[in-house]
Amino acid sequence: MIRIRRSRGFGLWVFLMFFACVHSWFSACSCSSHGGLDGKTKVLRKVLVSKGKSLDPHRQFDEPSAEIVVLLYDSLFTTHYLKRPIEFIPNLAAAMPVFSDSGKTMTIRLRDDVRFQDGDCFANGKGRPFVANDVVYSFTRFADPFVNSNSYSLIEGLVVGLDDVRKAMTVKGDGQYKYEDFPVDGLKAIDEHTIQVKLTRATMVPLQVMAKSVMSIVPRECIDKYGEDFQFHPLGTGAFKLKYTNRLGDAWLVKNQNYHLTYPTEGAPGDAEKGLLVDAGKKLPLVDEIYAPVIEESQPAVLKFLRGYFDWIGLDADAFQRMAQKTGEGQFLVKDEYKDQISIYAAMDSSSFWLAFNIQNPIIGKNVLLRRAIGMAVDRQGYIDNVINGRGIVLDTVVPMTIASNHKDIGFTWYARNVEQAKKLMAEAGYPDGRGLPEFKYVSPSGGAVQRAFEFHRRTLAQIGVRIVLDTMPYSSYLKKIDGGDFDITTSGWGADYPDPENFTSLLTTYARSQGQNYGAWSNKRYDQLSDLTKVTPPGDERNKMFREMAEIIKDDVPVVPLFGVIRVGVYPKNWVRNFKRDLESGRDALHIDIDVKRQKEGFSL
Amino acid sequence: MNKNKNMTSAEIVRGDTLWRRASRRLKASRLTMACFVIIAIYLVLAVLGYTKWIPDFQQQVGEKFMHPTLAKPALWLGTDVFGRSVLFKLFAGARTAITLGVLVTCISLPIGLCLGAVAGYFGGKIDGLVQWVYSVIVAVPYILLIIAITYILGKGMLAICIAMGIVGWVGLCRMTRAEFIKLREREFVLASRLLGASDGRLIFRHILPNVMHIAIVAASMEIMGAIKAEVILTYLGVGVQDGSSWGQMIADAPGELLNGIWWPTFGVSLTLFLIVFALNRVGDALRDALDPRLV
Amino acid sequence: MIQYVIRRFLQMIPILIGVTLLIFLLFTFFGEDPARVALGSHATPEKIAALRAKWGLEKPLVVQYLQFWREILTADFGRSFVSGERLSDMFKEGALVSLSVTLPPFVMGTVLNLCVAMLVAWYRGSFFDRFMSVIFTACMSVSYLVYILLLQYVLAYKFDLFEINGFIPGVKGLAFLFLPWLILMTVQFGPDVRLYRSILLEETKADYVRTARAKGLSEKKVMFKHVLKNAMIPVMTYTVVEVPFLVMGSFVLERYFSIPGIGDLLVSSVNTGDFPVIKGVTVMIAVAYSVFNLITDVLYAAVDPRVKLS
Repeated sequence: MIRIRRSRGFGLWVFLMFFACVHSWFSACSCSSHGGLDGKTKVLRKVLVSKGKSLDPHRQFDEPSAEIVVLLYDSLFTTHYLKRPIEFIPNLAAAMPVFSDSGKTMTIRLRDDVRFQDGDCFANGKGRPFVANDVVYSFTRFADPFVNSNSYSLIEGLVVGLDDVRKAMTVKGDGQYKYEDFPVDGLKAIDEHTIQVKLTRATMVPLQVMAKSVMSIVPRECIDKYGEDFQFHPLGTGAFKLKYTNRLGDAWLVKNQNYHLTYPTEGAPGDAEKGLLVDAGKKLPLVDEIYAPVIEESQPAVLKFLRGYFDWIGLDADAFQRMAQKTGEGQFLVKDEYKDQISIYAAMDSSSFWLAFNIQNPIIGKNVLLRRAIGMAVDRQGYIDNVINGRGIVLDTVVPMTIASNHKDIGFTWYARNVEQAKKLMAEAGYPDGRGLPEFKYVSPSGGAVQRAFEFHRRTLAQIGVRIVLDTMPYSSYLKKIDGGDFDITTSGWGADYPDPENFTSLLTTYARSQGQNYGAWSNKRYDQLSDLTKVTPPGDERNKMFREMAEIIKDDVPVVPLFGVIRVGVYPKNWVRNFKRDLESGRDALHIDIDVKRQKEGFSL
Repeated sequence: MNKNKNMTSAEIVRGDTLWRRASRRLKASRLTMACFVIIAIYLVLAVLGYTKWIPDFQQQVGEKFMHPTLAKPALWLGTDVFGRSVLFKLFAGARTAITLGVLVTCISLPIGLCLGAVAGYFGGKIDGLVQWVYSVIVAVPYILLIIAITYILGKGMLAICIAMGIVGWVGLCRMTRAEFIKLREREFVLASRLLGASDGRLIFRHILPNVMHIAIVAASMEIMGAIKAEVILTYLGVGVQDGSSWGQMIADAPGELLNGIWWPTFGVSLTLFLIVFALNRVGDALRDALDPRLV
Repeated sequence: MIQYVIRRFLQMIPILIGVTLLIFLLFTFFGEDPARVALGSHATPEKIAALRAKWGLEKPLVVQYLQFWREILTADFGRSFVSGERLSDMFKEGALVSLSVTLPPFVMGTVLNLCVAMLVAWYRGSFFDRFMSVIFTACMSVSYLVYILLLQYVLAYKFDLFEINGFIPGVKGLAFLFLPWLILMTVQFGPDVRLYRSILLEETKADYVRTARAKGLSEKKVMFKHVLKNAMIPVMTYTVVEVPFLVMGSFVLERYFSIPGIGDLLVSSVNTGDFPVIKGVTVMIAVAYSVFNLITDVLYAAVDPRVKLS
């Protein structure tokens, strides 16, 4: 029974005032605006999934950073936007290098029409022309241990004199920016637009690394001016300039009007038909601005995309399930309600994942039959279908399909999945139906899909009697644990540093253990031998034979079970985004994308 | 007493204690009794969770993400991504949640009460010391401490309980201390002291009962808080991992809700609602029943 | 009074010592290795050692602890191991942003919840009261995460009432904050009102209320003039000391709404072993907490004449 009072009193009055205010706020909010599009400027709006560690090319080695760094800076080389498989092309170099001295000397002619972007570190604010000395400076800085603790190992031991310089800079004890005091024997500017690099042996790796963002060219004036804060005031020769960034890692970029590259004139077969060569020869970049906010969670990113706020988002497992599907023939399509307005791309990533055993565990390590049984029981295609919505491809070696000498190239297959056979092996191993086998700890960093992934493996392995329990922890604890050998089974993975198979196969050598890889501490002399040989053998049949033998050793001894390579899927609006061919290697899609401004402002009619 | 059988019509007055009065009051409301029953059910589920009497939530009972149907009890709340029964997962989660809630409260409640009483009553240096301890603990953000302590104690139920217990007593301590400060100047305390009561007796027999209602409400909030904190800790990757946990089901919510799969989230929310409501109701009722001033 | 305040300020020092020792020992011995985290999968023992040396983590513990105190006294905690940003820059930018997300709903929510609590206490025992009690409990049992997901989806996306996500600094960006505010207030609603209600009801049982009623004062006067004032002490115990923690923002909320505050600082700094950030954040909060504690106690004395500041 509620007693109704006449005078409601102060409390209720506050109530009503509050709701009145809120209501007026509602109506004042123009909430379906499309985030500042004026209908004239071409703005590419893409979502970043997380904040990068640094915008200083030599300090960063993670993908979120590289995503922006490749737009702000240039390296000597890059990869062709359209051609597949990847093809290296010159960027700041005028042409591909000339090799001499049985492949140990690279002479690189540089472009003479490149300028650094304008900035207050230059005299009267105008960017100066790029010259050969900038290359020497940048590469020396790349070797500076106080700047670069991460990526130097990529060319460690490959450039004459560079390792010594790196050691010398350590001895000095301070962060140095006077690189003139540290001349490198193998790095010389022959003239204003030519440099010569001397390698310790004939190898393509330095060229490949020189195409990466970690070896971008930086202007010494800006580093002299800003020192350690250079990462917060990035300036390079790149296609875009950073206009604004914030704590979250949001980035607003504007076009560099004097960029030196043009849209490719040829592509892969079928590109012309898809309309990807319409802008052939045009000056890059094609858009005026890029707006790239960081949205770490799937829901807000997808919802905003569906409201027309973005021109490109990647899809994670949940977002994929909502917007797309994989057909029986292995095609990725958007769901019917979206298919008129939204396009989808699927690009294979140069990464690979495998189950790693801890060989130092006495039960697992000593019992090869047990490992083979597991290797035969793991359901790799099932994992792809059930845990990552089919966005993957089964790998039979640790080399991803995007790189030469993958399992198809070398004609190699892993065990076909055979539960009956696996059970027999279990019995032979001394554990019929898993009797007498203790539980194994499956260690994993915590995260969204981990439970699903673990659960899938748990069920599969339970079929042959192997029981696993999950142990999750923050990523850093995880690294410590597996590095310390405190695990039984884990899923390990690797993303290519450069597109060479040896980058993956060498991860399982004995030497790799000392470098913080090969967590299971597997060691096989013949495998190590072969791995060293592949480093000095040029690509071809002989090299493939070596990789094949290495794959056979792994199949025989099963230190790891190769699982899958990732297929990255994303969506973009069909009606106003053009020239989009997902380039995972260079990450410089944004240079080539064009936007139909009028249709962009119209948005979706979903 | 008077055994005169002629007094059958009159009430026989027995010595009434606080507890008997309280239980009478409690029994008066049907809703309150229903809430006791709900709590009992959860407790039973929790205990059963440690035995084999509870259905195995790992078993697949249907297709993935089936809608709730009335067909089988297992399907009353539908299935999850692996076709497991949401209902059974909730049962399994009860074990984690209730154990957590009870253990954390058993650790934090005594600490908070005693330290708060001692600090509030004696004041001076002891008060200063207790204040220092809880200031240090409160000053460090909760999440930081919990995660840091799990680094020391490792993962697992006991570690998390100890971590939450060590950090969670502060609220009750502060409240208790405030009450003690208020009450130590009250007339009944002064009177008892004049009559020669010792400090210990004053604290435990006289003032503390007046503070019990706060403790009980705090206990129910603590249990509830522990259960809800587990959700956030699981989201951050530090939660309990053996078996199913409600926190894990909620952590799965973002992906599921994005795809219109509402029933696991609904199931967990409903489960949480019932236990939270029951705890609140019982807490309030106990406080009212045990309040010595409502004669 | 002044003496009391000064004495309390001096008391901050032992608290700071306690906090700094606790943090320092915890994270030096048990925390993540920031070098390993920074290097990630490319870590090798040499790289880890080199990075640790660069960050001064190999110096003797006493030296490191004294260095910690030097940082406190100069209010300069250096740069984050993870992002290289100066801590002062991080706080300057981020703290204000986080505060703009958490403070308005805190203030509005407290006032609103107090009013609702009074309303419910007024009608105590009635159907309205019991019905609202169910509502409060229902609100409390829904997880924070679920609120964010549901409200973002339903109110922002489906019904287009709010911005889905994003942030613009300044007044222009106010619209982006409405939904986060609404969510924070919704989450606070249940627990707060329940707490205030129980405090208010607690007070109505006191003797002075009986006296006041016996004196013939109207129920309204009893509630507003007497009960409310006495209830302010426990209410203040809760609300005032929450304020320093508002600066830390809300981790989950900022993630879902892409708000560049410092909500992520806590969790990510612990997970990455980012000592400078951990140190800076805990010291800042410890100091703020002590200050607000002091304010609370002074207000106690102002409101309750029986309480003497000893």
